[in-house]
Amino acid sequence: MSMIRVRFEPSGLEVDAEPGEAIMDITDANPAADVPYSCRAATCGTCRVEVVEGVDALSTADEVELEVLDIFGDSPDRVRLCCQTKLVGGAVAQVTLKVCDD
Amino acid sequence: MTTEASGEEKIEYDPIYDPFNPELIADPYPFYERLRDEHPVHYNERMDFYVLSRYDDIFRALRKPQIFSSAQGLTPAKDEISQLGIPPTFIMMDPPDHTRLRRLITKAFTPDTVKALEPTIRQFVIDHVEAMKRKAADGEEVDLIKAIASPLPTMVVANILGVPPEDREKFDPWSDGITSASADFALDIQQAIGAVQGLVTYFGAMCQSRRANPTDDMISKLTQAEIDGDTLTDWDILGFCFVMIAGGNDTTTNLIGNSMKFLHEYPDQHRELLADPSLIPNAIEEFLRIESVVQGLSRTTKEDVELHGTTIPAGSKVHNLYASGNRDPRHWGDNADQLDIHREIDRHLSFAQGPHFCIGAHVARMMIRIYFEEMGSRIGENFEIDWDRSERRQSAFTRGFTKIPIRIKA
Repeated sequence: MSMIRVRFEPSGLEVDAEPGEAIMDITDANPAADVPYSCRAATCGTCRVEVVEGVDALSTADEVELEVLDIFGDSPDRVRLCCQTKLVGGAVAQVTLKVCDD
Repeated sequence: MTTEASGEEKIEYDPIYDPFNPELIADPYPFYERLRDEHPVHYNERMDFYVLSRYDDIFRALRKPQIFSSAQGLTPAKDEISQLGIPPTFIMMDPPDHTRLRRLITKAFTPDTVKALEPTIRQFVIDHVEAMKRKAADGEEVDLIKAIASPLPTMVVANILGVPPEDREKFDPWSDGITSASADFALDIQQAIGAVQGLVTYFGAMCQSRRANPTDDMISKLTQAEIDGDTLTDWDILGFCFVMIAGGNDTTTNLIGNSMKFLHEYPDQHRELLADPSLIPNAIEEFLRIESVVQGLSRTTKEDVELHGTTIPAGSKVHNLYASGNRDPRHWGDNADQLDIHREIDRHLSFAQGPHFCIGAHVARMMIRIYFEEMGSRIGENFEIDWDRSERRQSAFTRGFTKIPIRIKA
């Protein structure tokens, strides 16, 4: 299985990860990614990140996540919750996630 | 209830949800059941607020801050923010302002930071459980609340804020003052004023000292934090301190007390927990569900809301009864009123839902897990609580005990 390079901004940390891995597991193992979490269960919206590139390498947002994104007026092709998102296999080799400003 | 409206005229007035009704304070659950079944959108005319009591309605309201705002305060009272005279707190804000501030404080609650607290918490619990055992060996009766349930979260909050041990004697009374006032949601404002003043002076000085010489505590991190190039003022940071103290103290104390009461009422489940500590985490979620220590919090509507055939006008206070939603059979099934430590719990309401989900939830869970682990391994079933002499907190807004006399058997 080919690895996916995940870059976190603004920290600049890059991690190689396998399809199937949860973004939250990656950031827990790499605190330098500096993604803020709170509820860790798709309710508070603290871990929202902008998908700068690689949206096709991310799992589809479910209804619970969509509801939280809606609070902030975000759409899932642009913003995701790190606590809900996993990497999926495919052609995309690079994902960049930027912690939202608000 | 009948009130004298004037010298001669009497007005019949019977709100189902009256937070000052002693019967409701003693046992709110029959009132909640009636609200859910007969008046899912209840209007308290005298105090001018609405009440939601069904799980789905509350869940949706909490996850719609665009409509149900926190910016006018969290109690049914309309003018609470101006009355309180406290620093601005992020629990009384909406996104995006709330989100910016919340992101900062989450840095004090990362998994690593929380994990790092575990040894300190465990040692504290061990010391206090052993102290209870020693007193018991001398034949002394102990109050579980004073002996451990209350000091534990106070220590943890002080630790997170960075209050050094030598200052804890000063800190504890302010903490008590703010906690007891907030337990009744500032219905007795005077009680909090002295505590607020003490806290403002102390933490104001601490902010200045941490700005000059930062350490690794939360206040240092907040003094160094930047949002869009702006730093937080001391007054902003005091708001954080206030939220930590008001939100982090009695909540855990009450959770411990309530859990002990349920284990007394369900001795088989207590024995199961003692035999298999791996059941503790799910049991904690069930304790949280069955008796929400914060019985409910309010929001203010930003537009007209139609619900169950009633229009809640824009600008109305809406009180969300978490404790009622947590026992709504429509969501939890017919045994919603019963403790079941094996229950599959998706999302209870006790930490709220949505952007204001309790920021300290993971620390609270860890505190009570360690409490049960150490009580279980060190005392097990060898204790008796005199529930007839226990005392409940007299509040419709928080539920818990102020005194639990416990005897530990040799």
